[in-house]
Amino acid sequence: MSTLDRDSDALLVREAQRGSRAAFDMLVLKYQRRVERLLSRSVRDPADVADLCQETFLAAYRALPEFRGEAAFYTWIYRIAINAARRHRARQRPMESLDDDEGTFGTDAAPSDDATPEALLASRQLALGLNEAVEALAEDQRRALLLREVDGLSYDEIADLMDCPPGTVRSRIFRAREAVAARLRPLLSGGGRRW
Amino acid sequence: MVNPQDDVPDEVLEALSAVMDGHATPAEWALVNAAWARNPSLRERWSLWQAAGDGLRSAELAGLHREHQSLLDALHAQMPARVIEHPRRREWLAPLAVAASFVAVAIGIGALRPPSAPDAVMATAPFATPRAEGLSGMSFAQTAAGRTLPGVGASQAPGLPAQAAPEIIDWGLTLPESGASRPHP
Repeated sequence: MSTLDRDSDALLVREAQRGSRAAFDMLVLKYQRRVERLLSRSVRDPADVADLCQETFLAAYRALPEFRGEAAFYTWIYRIAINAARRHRARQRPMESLDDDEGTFGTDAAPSDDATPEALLASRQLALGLNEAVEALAEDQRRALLLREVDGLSYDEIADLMDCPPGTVRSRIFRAREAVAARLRPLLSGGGRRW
Repeated sequence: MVNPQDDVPDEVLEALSAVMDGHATPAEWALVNAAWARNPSLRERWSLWQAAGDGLRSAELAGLHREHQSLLDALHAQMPARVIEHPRRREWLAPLAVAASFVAVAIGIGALRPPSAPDAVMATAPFATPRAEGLSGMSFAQTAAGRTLPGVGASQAPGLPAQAAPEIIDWGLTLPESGASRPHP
């Protein structure tokens, strides 16, 4: 979670608290994948994961007026998701101890153990397609996009590195996103893999 | 300029990109906020850009992409219409209530206080604001001490009896004065 992530989240959270549904939608679409990945580590049924993901964002929406920004938005929603998963597991297996939840949720990058070969293949194809899309970008667009998305640098920092105005950086990143999205769209239009 | 793939102007899309990076101006946010609900292409773009960003950081996350509108539709169907309360409203409401209660108490004390007999000074004084006059040029300590001590540097008006302590400010309190604190004749 970069500082810029927190900055853009702060804007969206503030606007959502003021009643902007657009801002809340943006937060949902931004964190949907991460919440689902987190939930899928302790809930195996994809339908349950989808339900719990909805439950998580709905609870976040209701509690949003109380969110004061002491923690990052993702940390806050992460905790809501963990609690939702715990309640779900308690309902499913009330006699089972839930003490191992922290271990279950703890590893952030580990892939799901139960991913099917088809799902793994689809994921690999998407990663390949994304890589090709980025490689096809003009050099200045690719550098700007990667410095922003991977390294989390601000426009000013990227402008310093690339020796150009911040407005140019902003434009390059926008153009790069558009080009990558155009190549990813056919790959993702089928809905992609779910867990 | 309008993007050839849809009807979203590039200006709006570039503003959306700035929102994603935390660099949007208030005007750009207003532009995006207004266009969001009526423009599915904007939502699709946001979802794709986020998926690409996630994918660049983690191949696994890119694989978790799914159609974005179904989740939003499901959430919107369950969201209460107006659960959001303006947070700033509560920030000023509490101090305002406290201030209002102080004003009410002050008015109440003033109403309960028995009317004092007008003395010669006050009877001839213009209908001015003794509180304001008392505060101007006087420190709090001076005004508070004004009941018992003559104001520092305050000139004695000609014709007034020497024993009369100058009434600096009326605090609305009727505390009895001890004999020791009375000025000596």
